[in-house]
Amino acid sequence: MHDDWTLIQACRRGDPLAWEQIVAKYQRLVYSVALNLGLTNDDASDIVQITFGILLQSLHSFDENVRLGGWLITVARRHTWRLRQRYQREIAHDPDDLIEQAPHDSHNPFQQWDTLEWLNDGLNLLDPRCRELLMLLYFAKEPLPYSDVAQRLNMPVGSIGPNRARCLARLKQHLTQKPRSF
Amino acid sequence: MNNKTQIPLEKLIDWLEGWLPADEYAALYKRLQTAVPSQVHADLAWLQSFLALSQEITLSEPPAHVSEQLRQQFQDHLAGQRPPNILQRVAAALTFDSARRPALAGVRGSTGSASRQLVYSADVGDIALNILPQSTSHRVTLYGQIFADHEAYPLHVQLLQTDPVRELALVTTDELGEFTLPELPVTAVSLIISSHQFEITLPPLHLTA
Repeated sequence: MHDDWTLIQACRRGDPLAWEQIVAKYQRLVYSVALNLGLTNDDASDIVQITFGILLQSLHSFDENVRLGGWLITVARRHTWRLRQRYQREIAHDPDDLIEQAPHDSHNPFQQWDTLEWLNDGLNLLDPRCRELLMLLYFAKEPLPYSDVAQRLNMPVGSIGPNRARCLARLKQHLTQKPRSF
Repeated sequence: MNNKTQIPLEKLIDWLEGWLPADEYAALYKRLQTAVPSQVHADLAWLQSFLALSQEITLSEPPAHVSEQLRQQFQDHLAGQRPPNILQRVAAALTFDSARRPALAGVRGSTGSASRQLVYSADVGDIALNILPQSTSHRVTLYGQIFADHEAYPLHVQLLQTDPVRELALVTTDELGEFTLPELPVTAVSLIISSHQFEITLPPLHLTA
């Protein structure tokens, strides 16, 4: 997979494959920002569209120092927050009911978003099957039993354990090579 | 490394997640208690941190139709079409900065105080900012008001430090478009103001009074 600056330059030239690589690399991250801030799947999907729409409009504003993951998180958070505020206003009976900070966002937020990006980067380096397995086992919105995971991945239940360990070992290898720790 | 202390990652994760039968669990527990500090302990610590993280974070792919819509969005962009529901993005230009006014002998500054005033103009409205140094610390308070032409308040204000990029504040204005951000570091920032209709981006600013 190419680096972000190369992909952005290719997108500026109108290369749809470069755009698809950016989407593949970051749509999970943007969607997950919205989910972690408490949005529903449908609203989180809208945030993905809004955020990538803004990215399209901003392609010419980046330079070689771009940190696209952090930029996308910032945009996604802003619009998630805006949507939450709108919902809160719709249900609030008293202006004092409105809260200033999104509750899921108040606990050491910078570290949380850095961690999400770091984890997403590590998962991007795995093969798709490993990535999907670990996401289903460890990062799904609702925990799934092994039988459901096996069915989704078309994999015998008995092979989930060994595969999980193999994929975790690879993820550990990728993550420990990056300048970030838990 | 002592081979006796080597325990496969699979066994460790099974142990942590409670998949092992009681006797195996107890045996492994005993080995871990008596083992000298080793790679096993490092693996165990990593796995414990990973599992704790997995309890806090959700990470999921969006539904497949979202990818298809994003693909279409790119095609529309190439074709010069503006997709529906996309915000109007505008840049604001600085029209006044009290810090750049020439100092006239014997003439007081416009504010008569230590605060710095800035005024920006954009297609969708004007923005007035004030930067006030705090007397007790090397920090500043940024307060201001947004005069939007055709927009219902409140608006949303996000302040980003530019190097390294990180968010310093995200607040909502009151019904008059006013906001206050206290306790800010003296640093280079950018400000983004958003509503349902637009996003205004202010040029980079150094937070000095």
